[in-house]
Amino acid sequence: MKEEGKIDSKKRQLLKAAAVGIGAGMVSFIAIERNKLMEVLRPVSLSEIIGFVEAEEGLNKYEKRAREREAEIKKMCRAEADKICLDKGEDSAECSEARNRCEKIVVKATPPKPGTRFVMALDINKCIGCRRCAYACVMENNTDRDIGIEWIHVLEVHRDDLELLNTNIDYGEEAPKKDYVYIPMACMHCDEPSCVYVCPVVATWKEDDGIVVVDYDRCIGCRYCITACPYGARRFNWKKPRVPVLELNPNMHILGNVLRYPHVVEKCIYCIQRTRDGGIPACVEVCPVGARSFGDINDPEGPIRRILEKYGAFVLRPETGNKPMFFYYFGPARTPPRSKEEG
Amino acid sequence: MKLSVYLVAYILAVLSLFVISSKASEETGIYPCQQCHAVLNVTGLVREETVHDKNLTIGAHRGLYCANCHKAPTVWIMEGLNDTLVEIGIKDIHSREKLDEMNLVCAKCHYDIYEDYTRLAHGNSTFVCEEGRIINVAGYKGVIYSFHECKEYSKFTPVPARACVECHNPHNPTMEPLSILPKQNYVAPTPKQDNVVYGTLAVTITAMSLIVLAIIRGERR
Repeated sequence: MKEEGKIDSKKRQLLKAAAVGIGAGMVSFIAIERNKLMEVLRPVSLSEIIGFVEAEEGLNKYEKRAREREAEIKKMCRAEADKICLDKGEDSAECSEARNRCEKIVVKATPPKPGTRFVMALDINKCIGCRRCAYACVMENNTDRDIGIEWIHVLEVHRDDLELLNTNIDYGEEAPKKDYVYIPMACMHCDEPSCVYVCPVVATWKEDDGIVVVDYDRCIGCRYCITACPYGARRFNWKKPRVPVLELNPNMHILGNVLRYPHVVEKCIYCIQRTRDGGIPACVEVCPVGARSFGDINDPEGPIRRILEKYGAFVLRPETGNKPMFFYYFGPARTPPRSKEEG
Repeated sequence: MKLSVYLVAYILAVLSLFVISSKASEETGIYPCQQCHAVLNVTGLVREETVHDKNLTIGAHRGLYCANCHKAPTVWIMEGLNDTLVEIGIKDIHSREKLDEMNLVCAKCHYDIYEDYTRLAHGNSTFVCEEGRIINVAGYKGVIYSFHECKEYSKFTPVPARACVECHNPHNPTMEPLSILPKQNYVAPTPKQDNVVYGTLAVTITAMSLIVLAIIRGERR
């Protein structure tokens, strides 16, 4: 009995100690997090709630978020610009350029235009594999410069093969070679996008104008979509993206090239910040051989219809059933190979 | 009656033959040689000469005559699409209208590509914005990126592709490939494995020592 009593007292002591410990922990935790919690739990005014509801009910619910993000990015940019000005001096060209760039930042939320459906076509006969599209895309879309995210991958493959498994990305700088073709590959903006179907939080979807977008505020970084994409078109931000202020593109879209958070997925968005306002994507603009064409497939006079009617087209990996909306075709004339002996 | 009709028809036919043959002796209807040769002194060897940058007696141009492209009275008038006459070789800066007109000369033979071009499927297009300008900067991995600086980034006006001769040499239109930019990153570099290993090791050692301490303490009691 005595022994049992001993054990009981021991147990009681242990329980007491544990309870005291947990209590102390809770108190310290609350004390530390109190300020943070108070920020979260601050009372909301009625006007704010009404404003939020109106924004949600309005035509473009992203407008409000775009304004908020614009203010955030401008603040970040100004802080960076101040650093540059400290380093180089207030009178330097870099300083004025950085400040000018920060003031020009616009985060848009342009909605899709009814009746449009953006499609891209690429002439494999013309492409020389120069990779200008891939790098211009990085510049245009404010992609991180440290971990080397590039949305477009240019792949070399034998002309008779055209199998994605046998492609080579490290083909050096001796291109174009005889009997080889170059396939730049990015998001195909599929009609049946498997990446959209697997997203557990509906952070990615297909817009009415055919662009598959990612909502960076909603993405939880689970990377299911990366696994589901048969084209390997999606990239993951492993860290907070770093974009030099002097290379920042101030023309941003909330669902496009707005500065990303760490641990979100990103991909080609057909330069939504340009195309929805009447422009053309950066890759199409920069291509030195004019291999890319971009347009509205519903426009009977547009380039896409012309290509599809005249030359026909094929898609990559049709067996996946994703119905890609990025067409490849063999145009009328081939850019000659680099080496005359080979050609 | 019938005989007289046949007779008249026969006489008329013979007369008309005489008229045609007398005209043909002066110049052929198809090639009005005198019109050009009076001013040009064309020897007939121009098709091989350097003025065209190309030997026009071989290849796809083999079957062409001068008059297929050039129209009298001078070589500086060429025939374009739908029999339009286009003046070439003008010395001053070419206006946009003039360039569009000159495209028709190329279009006469390369009609498919011309139609691709007019529908923006051939050639590069761009866009401009109100009170904006384009700054070319050498950016990421050496790409020349066209930076569009605009007052407002909301309304862009597309600019169609440039005229044929702005990109292609009219006498040697095949374009050589440009330089190839440096290699691409295939995958993002993984985090440093050393940090992960050392972290795991530290945690394991701490945990083991704690367990040992707890055992010793329990034995003493």
